[in-house]
Amino acid sequence: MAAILKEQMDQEQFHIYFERSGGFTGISTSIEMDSRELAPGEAEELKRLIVHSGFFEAITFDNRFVHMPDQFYYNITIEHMGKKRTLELNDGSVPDLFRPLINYLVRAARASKKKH
Amino acid sequence: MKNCVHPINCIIPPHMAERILEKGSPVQKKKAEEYIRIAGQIRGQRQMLAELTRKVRAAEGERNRKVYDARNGSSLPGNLVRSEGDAPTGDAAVDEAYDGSGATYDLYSEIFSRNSIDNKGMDLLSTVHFMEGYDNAFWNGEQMVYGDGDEDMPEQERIYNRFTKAIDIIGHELTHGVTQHEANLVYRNQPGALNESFSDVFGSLVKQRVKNHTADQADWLIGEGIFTSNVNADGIRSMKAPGTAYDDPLLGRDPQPGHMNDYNDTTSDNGGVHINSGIPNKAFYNVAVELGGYAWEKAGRIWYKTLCDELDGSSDFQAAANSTHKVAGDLYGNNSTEQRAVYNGWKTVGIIPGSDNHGGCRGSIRRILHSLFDGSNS
Ligand SMILES: [Zn+2]
Repeated sequence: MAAILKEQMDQEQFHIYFERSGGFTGISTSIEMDSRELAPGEAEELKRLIVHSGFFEAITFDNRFVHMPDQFYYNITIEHMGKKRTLELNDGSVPDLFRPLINYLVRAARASKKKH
Repeated sequence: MKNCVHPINCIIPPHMAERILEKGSPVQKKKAEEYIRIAGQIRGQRQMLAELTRKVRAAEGERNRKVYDARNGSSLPGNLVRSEGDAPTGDAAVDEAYDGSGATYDLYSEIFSRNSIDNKGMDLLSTVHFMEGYDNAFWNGEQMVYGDGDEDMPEQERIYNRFTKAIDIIGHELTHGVTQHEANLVYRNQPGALNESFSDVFGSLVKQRVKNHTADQADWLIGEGIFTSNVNADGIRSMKAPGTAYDDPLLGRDPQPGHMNDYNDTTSDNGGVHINSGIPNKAFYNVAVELGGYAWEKAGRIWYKTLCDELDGSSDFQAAANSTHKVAGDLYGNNSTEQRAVYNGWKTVGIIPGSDNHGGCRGSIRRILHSLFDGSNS
């Protein structure tokens, strides 16, 4: 998939599905977010984190440590400009650039649970 | 090195002295240690000296704990903040990781005569303050890693405390290291749930021993104190009553089964390794309570020997039941009280030791399906 620049992200809406599973507790958490349903500031911040992570540029991850006991597994799907990409990561393979995006999504998932 | 008064004139090369340290008699070891110390001083090789001192300590079965601070970042191990023998730092997470790994080392050393994680005196490495809002603890194959919970949320919304707060979590993580060096149970489906269960078993025993609790006095909770008062939860798992540890709108309900009839055939979490571990957890609890007294003395000994000598990477619940039953017979005699307790403990959760039924008809179908489709989605 071609690199998606910040300008392009700004112009288009996007949709995210995020799930974190595994971990010591085994309690999974997930959230679905659509840019059209977010407050303008929130959508901006999320776009910034997606661009920062290089989500659409990242090609492969080293998931060799898939059986590292008690680590988290992350499943992130983003639909954008008619294209869809899913990445599966774990604590052993997450690049540092992805951490801010994952932290944001985890916090959003916690906050959404609180509302329901 | 008889009467070798001047080390420079000694003809024993360092590697030979090292070998004596590993294999020699106590007297030989002491002499070799002295030789290396003097030789090291003369050559000014401080680093060599420190490394050899560490080797001597490890060979003699001495604890060597190191606690690192990730300072909310993700690089491991981070900055060394407390080493063996250092005074408490005042940082609760650092000091809990230090004390908890010490108590775990002591259980393995004093009760099971095990020399650290690898039985070869491996250093106990822990990293605390891993990431921000990291509500987890894990074993990365070499060390323990602990997050601070959801400390990045406003206080009234926090669900988790720091993960070092429960000593059984520390024992749990370190036991993943022991399992890796022994049965090396594959972290998926039933072998994975057994891997999890052994960690819960020995994690709980660490806590019971520190508290001097007998089987009937123990709470059998895993992760007690990890949840804040904002949620309705006693802990993360209950070995005594799987499925009852928490029930809360934010967390949902504890999904652990305590019987094979309720085995969860999920693909999530590596085939529910943190869910189905409730079944062997409950079996261990049953055995420990039936035997009475301190759980680490008999039930713990049977489980430990099974982990080290009987199981392999692909062992399932039935294999664990069969092996613990066999080990109880080896240790205490066939048809002994202990062996009967093991039989009853597994039978109560729906697994008959020696029957080779792998959890009944439903279990057999499941195993065939798993063997056909596993690997394809791993
Ligand atoms: Zn675990």
